[in-house]
This record gives sequence, structure tokens and C-alpha cells, in this order.
Amino acid sequence: MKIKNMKDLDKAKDIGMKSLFPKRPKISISMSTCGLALGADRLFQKLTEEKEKTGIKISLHQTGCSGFCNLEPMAMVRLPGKPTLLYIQMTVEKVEQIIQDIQKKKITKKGLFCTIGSDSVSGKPDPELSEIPDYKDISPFKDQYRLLLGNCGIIDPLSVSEYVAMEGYSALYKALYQMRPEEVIKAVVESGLRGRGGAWFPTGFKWDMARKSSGDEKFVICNADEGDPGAYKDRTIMEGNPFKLFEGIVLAGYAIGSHHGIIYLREEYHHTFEFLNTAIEIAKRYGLLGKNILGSGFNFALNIVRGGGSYVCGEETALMDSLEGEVGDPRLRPPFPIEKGLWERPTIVNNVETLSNVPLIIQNGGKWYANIGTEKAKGTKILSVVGNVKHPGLYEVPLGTNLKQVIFEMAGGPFNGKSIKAVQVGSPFGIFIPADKLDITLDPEALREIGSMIGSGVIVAIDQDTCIVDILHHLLTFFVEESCGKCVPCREGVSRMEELMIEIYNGRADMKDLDILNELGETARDFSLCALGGGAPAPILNGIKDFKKDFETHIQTGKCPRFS
Amino acid sequence: MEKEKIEKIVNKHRNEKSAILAILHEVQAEDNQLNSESLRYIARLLGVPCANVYGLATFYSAFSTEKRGKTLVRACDGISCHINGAEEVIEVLKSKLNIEMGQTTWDEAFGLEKVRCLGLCSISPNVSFNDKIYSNLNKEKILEILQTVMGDSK
Amino acid sequence: MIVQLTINDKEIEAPESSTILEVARKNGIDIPTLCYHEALEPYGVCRLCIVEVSGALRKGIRISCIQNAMDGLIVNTESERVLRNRGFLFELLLARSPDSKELIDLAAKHGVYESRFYEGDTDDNCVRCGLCVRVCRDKIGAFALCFAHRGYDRMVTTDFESLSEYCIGCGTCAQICPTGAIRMKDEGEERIIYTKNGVVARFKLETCDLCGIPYAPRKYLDFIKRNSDESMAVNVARDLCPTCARRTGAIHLVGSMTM
Repeated sequence: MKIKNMKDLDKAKDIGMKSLFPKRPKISISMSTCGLALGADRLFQKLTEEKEKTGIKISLHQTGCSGFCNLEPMAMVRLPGKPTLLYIQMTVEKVEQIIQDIQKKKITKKGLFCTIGSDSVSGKPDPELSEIPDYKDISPFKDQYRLLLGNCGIIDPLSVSEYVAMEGYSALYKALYQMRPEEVIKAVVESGLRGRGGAWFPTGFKWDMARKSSGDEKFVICNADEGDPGAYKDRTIMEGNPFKLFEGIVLAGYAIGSHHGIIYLREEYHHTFEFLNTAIEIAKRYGLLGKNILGSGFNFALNIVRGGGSYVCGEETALMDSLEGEVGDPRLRPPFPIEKGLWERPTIVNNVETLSNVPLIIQNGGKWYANIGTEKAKGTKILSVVGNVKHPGLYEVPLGTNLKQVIFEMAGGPFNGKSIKAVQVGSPFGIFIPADKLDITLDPEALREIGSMIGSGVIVAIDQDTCIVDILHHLLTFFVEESCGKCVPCREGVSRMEELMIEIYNGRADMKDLDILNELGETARDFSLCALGGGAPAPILNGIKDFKKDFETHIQTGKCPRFS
Repeated sequence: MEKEKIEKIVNKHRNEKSAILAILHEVQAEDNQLNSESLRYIARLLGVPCANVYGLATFYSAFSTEKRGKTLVRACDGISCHINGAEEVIEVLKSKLNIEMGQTTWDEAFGLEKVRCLGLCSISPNVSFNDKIYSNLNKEKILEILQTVMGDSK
Repeated sequence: MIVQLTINDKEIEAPESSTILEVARKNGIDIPTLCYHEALEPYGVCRLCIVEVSGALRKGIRISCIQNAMDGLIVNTESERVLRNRGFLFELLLARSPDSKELIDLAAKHGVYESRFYEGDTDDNCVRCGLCVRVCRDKIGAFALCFAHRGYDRMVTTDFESLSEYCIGCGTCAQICPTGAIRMKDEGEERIIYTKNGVVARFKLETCDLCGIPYAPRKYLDFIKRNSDESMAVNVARDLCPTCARRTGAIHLVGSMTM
């Protein structure tokens, strides 16, 4: 059932609409890695059994995760004439209750978290649900601008027609039939889109250079290694709306003149690997990958390669070495990947989130996108807020949103009456911003001014009971274990930092050793071959400055403030 | 692993050198190790230097040149899991399995490894037992899970 | 294209394609290196060759073995910043290779006599410069050596850290090693190539057809035969040690000249 023209696309849209808004009651269970870990498969099985047993006329669906895994397992229930209802932390018993209530034409109140769209078909608020808040008015959903995550948790991620019903593939169709590759690049340049994996490199500029590089064979690599601990936004997109990502990858291929894309997927995402492979097969069957995409004559093949479990392989040159069957050692640059990348061919490496922005840009125009965010930082950013907050999860906000607002208003602030001590912004290389300096905007310029970064958007909040020395030691262990070991400043310098940090932790160091820690850090920062060694010192060196008290406690007493 | 099985896997990937990561993954999954016989044979079939293949097998965390436990217990130690109590969970694992991180039990039933990260940061701490993931863990919950899993494996 | 740059206040002309390190060395300016060798592609990992630049490039530190010469570039190989950072790098390296005479001498030449990071443990004296791995791979083509493990544990070894059947016993690795971490020893009729971690390869030495001394492994001789132009090598048909080969070659040459 290949989609070969606009008529086919419209037909798919109709099917998708009927699937999204069926006449009969509809129950969707989110079945991503997180849902499955919390028992969603048992819920789905129960629903299937009940449906067969009772013969009840309901439509059963699966969705992806919305990014708020601690509310899983989630169930979305759509009763005819009623707003969609979101149930959280579901159990088999609660799901049984819903089935019974549907048969009695009742709304189950137990586990009901919010409505999604408070207006019923009549356009007026539903009196039966007057005390139930709407998702856009409550934490954690309020104040978000879910451009990329909008379909996650709502549509069936493996349903092409549902994605098409939500405007999916209209961008690719437009590009393949109505735009030249140069025009696609122009739109991306106009949008101001920059890399969302941490490098913040202008995407359109990169694509333009790759297009201009000579060579018959070019590659599009989607960096799905998502190595930053705390980050799972890419997993959520891949498990919640994979076709959006594929659409972005094919658009990239069309733009630069490449017919081959590779998704380099994190080894630890076992379920995601199987899931994406299924999604690729489905896309091929619909003519959205492979030969003659959407009937346009453009060919593009996509396959997935699993990483081997190495953080440094998230660095684009190490990633390419890994794809070539080597160990993940970062390469010297120049040459840059856009000239000589994978197998010495021109290559673009883009993050999952970056590529997922592209269909929206092509569909709505670069100027539309450039209106979101700030003067110099365009579009939205998915923030992965974790740690000591009431509502950890994925928050998609326009760039320039205030950090304090995200932590305290959107994510609910600290729990159990504690206070926030610091927030690490961006990635494991981000500095820990002390509590009294959180009133800043989340855009790269403002962050750079205080020595921070937007990174991949990880936001780690730690409360008063956490010790900075413990956290920094934990970070250093991570860097040491993930270093490839190729260059001296990182291999030797960062390892010595970790050794020294252990001495500090155990009270076997003195204040002078903090100077040595600084020297080691500056050497690694200034002379490492790649951003792992180059970035590792930043949180440590800033931590020494801003949280001297924790260091003093360890050095003078050998005891951790956590246990006092 | 038997030569025929290795040949089948390598042929599936059209004997391409660039597919070596995928080949190593499949052999590791099937044999629970990448021992020297398997690696040497893979190197020969692909026409790549043996030393290079050894370098790959020891560089990547996903691979083990020694036999891993039948059940690989991977405890996530990412920053979110760490902040939310992964240390305690890991202590219980080490004590109940009676091994250190990176080791295998004497009967080869369990192997214990650290992993960063599983991408389940809002339901931390997390531990996976082969492909089954358990989340929102604490000392008591992991003890309960271990007792069930270890009881089953007898 | 020829460019004009300044190194330590000395104005120098050089081809644009050369690196600052190459230009410096050609002009008698010393910049220390460990991982660099003229016969191999630059590896850029030891970072000892750092220099401070300004002029054509924004002021800062560059890695001279990979930085190309540029017109108007001003280079200082001994600035205060370079000396401080280079000294620190030597300290880190000495901690890892405390028994290497070559490294101790090189460090001393640059003002570093001890390391604050040395804890008295003996290591393998390997600075992971990769010269041995790279020469065996890129020039000899034996692929006997590799880097295994990663991070601090990254080490030079053979496949499975065992005796290598791919090593041809040429000893180029031992010759190119800047710290003596990998060595070659001929004792009687045996050659071994070894590191502190173990023996890389062991060979029986073939004896010279003329004078009878043990001089090279069979695998090495086969390698030379495979890679020699038959008309050039006098020792293709016979096993001749270098001395006898030279003598025989000289006799042939004189003979051919007087014919």
C-alpha cells in the first residue's frame, strides 16, 4: 500500500483520522520502554482479554511515551462526545474498572489525571468533568510548546496513517514535488535551526557545505547515541513518533544529495532497536523509504547500526570510526565530515531532535520557525528535567525560557519541603549553577556568559541533602570510564583528577590539592583532542569555586555532608 | 561458538567489514561471550587483522571476552539514578550476588555490570535483568526482585 | 605555494603544505614530540608539540604537528604559557613512564625532573603514542599490534595479549618506540620482542649462508623477499646477514663496473 501521490496521502489521512477519532470508545496504552518497564504490557494484555471476553466494542491502541515516565503506565481514553481523558499510574485493577465503567457509560474517576482538550464536541466545557483540570493548565504539561513531542503519547507510533493525519509527510511531499534541494536548505538556514545534540552548530550551514562538497556518494547520519546520563528525549521521539524522524532524515538526504542514511543507535536501547527496525519496515511498505519515495523518483535507504556501549561514540568523528568497524577514537580535524566523513565521503551528522525539527520547518517555513525562541536562538528545546524535583520529565519550551520557571513552576520545584542547592544545565559537562543564580534564560548566549551551555538539554536539580563533592566524583568516574584514552591530557589528566577527588572525598587531601585539581582541569580543558576531555573539567573547576563548603567538609573531616 | 553459526552470521551481513559491530553483537548475544576462537574466526572470514578485532572486543562495553553470567544484571548509574539512590541498590546487588561490579557469580548464573544510562531517568533507579527492566527501585524492592529471580534460577 | 611565517622571531619561508613542526625542525628549532615520526601520518595525541600562535591565527595554543604553516603566522615555541603547559604534560607522562630513560632525559631537557603524580607504582613505560601500532599497520603491514581496552587502561598489545603469529620480527616497533616500552633482544639463536606486559613474539634466527651467524627470523626474510625488486636484492636467493650482503653487493657492483 505505497503512498505514491497526493491522492494516496489524502486517503491515508482519512484512515488516520478515523483511527485517531473512532466512533466507538478508544483506549490507548503507552508502550514505550518506560511503560513496559512499569507493566504496560500486562495492562494491554488485560484489555485485549476483557475485550474478547465481554465482546465490548472498544478500539484498542498503543502509543509512545509523552516523556513523563513517572506517570506511566498511562492510558488515554476517548469516549464519544467527551474530551480525551488521561489516566496515570495505571494498574490492571484500574484498567478493569475503566472497562466496567465504559459498559455502564460512566466516566472512571480513579486515576484520572486530566483531560486533553477540555471542550467536548459541543464546544462547551463538559459539566461531568468540571473538577478535572485540563492538561494545559497543570504541571507537568502547562507552559510547554510541544512541537516535537506533540504526537508522543497521542498517536500510534507505528501507524503511518495516524502520523499523516497529524500533517505527517506533508513536508516531505512538498519538498520532493515542489522544492529544489537548495530551497530546502534555504528554509533550514532561514529557520536558524542549530544542532540539538550539544554542538549547537548551524544546521543549514552544515547542509549547504555538504551539498557543495564534491562526491557522488554522501551520507546522512542520525546520531541517536544519546549518551548524556539524564537524557532520554531522543528515545522518546524514536519510540513515540519515529516517522517524524525518518521524514527529517529523508529531507536531509534530499537537501544534500544523499541516498543513504544511517541511524547510529545507543547500544543500551534494546527495545528501541527492535521498535525502530519495525518502523523502518513499515515505512518501506508505504513507500516512505527505499525506492521512489512518495512516488517522486527520489530513492533513500535507511538502516540502523547499534553502538557498542561507548559514550565517546556520540562524538561525530568517533561515531564514524565506529561505523567503519573501528574503535571509537575521535579523529583530528580538519578534514571535517562534510568534506571527508564516513568512508571519506561527505557526511552530515545530526542529532535526532535536530532532524525532527526539519519537517515542521519545511511545512511551515523557515520564517515561522525563526519567530519561536529568541533573537539568536530559534525554535524549541526539549529539556530533560531530572533529579530532586516533583515532576521529572521532558519539557519542550521555546529557547529563552527562564530556568527558574522550568524548575519551580513547571517541574514543581523540590519535593518534601527541601530546597534546591544547584542545577546542572546542559550535559554532564555543564556547570552546577548555584540556587541563587537560577534566574537566567535558557539560551546558549546567556548560558555561555556564566560558563554554562545548552548542551543536549539535560537539567539536573539537586537539593540541599546532596553533596557536590560526591556528585563531582561520580561525574569524574563517568568521564574516566568513557574516555577513549587516545590523547594525553584526557587519559592522564582526567584520571589524575579522579584519583585526587577520591583523596578529597576521603579526607586524605588538603586545600592545596584543589590548586592541583585546577591545573589538571585546565590542561585537559585546553589540550584534549575532543570535547570529552575538553569538557570534563568545567563542572569540577566551577564546583570548587561555587561550593567550597562541601570541599572543606570533606578535606577537614573526611565525612560527606550527606550523612551528617 | 561453532564455526557454522559464525559463518551464518557473517554471511547474513554479506561478509562486510563495516558490519563487524553488528556481527559481534549477534555472536555475543548467542554465545554470551566473544572468546578468542570466535574472534579469530570472524577476523579470518572478514579479512581483518586479528589484533583489530581484539581491540574492538575490548574497547566496547557491550562485549565481553569472558563468559558472562546467564543473567546479566545491569545497574544504571547515571546521574539521575545516582541522585535517587542507585548506590544503595547497587550495594544490595553486590552483597546478595556476592560479587563485585564487573564480575560473574561462580556458577555463571549472574553477571553484574554498571551501565549509563538506560534512558529511564524519571523513574530511577533502574536495573535490567537481561532484557527485563525494573524501575523506581530502592533497597527493599531490589531485594524482593532478587529473591524472586534467584529463586527462579535454582 | 610558499608562505612566510615567523618562528621565535625568525622569519622563515616554507611550503603551505608543511606543518609548523616540520618547518621548525627543518630550521633547527627544537620542539619536543613523542607521537610524531616523519614516516607516519601525524597522530596529534601527546600534545608536547604545542606552540603559541598569533598573527594570521587568533592568539592561542596550537598543536604544531598538525597545524599548517600560514602566511603571516607568528609562532612562539617557548612562550611562558607553552613552557608551563608542556611542563605539566611532561609531569603527567613521567608519572606513567617513570623508568624510561629516554623520557626522563627528554623531560629534563625541558626543565622537568620529577612528577607530583608519581605514586611509586611501576607501569609499563608506554606513553600510548601509537608509533609502534601505526608503523606495524601502515608501513610494515603486519598488523601484529593494536590498542586494546580504553581510557587509562588503553594498552598496546597483540591479539588476545598473547604471542603473535602475525609479527614478522622486524623490530621496527622497538626502534621507533620513544620510551623503550617495547624492545627487541637477540640472544643466541632467538629473537624476542617484548614489553613489560609480556612477550609480543618469539623467533628462531636464521643463520647466514656465508658466515653462519644467526641474524634474522624467517618471517622477516620472507617479508623482504616479497617486497624487494629481485634485481636489487643480493640476498634474495641466499640468506645473507647485512655484513655479508653488503660485501657481496660491493663485489658485484665493482665487478659490473669493471666489465
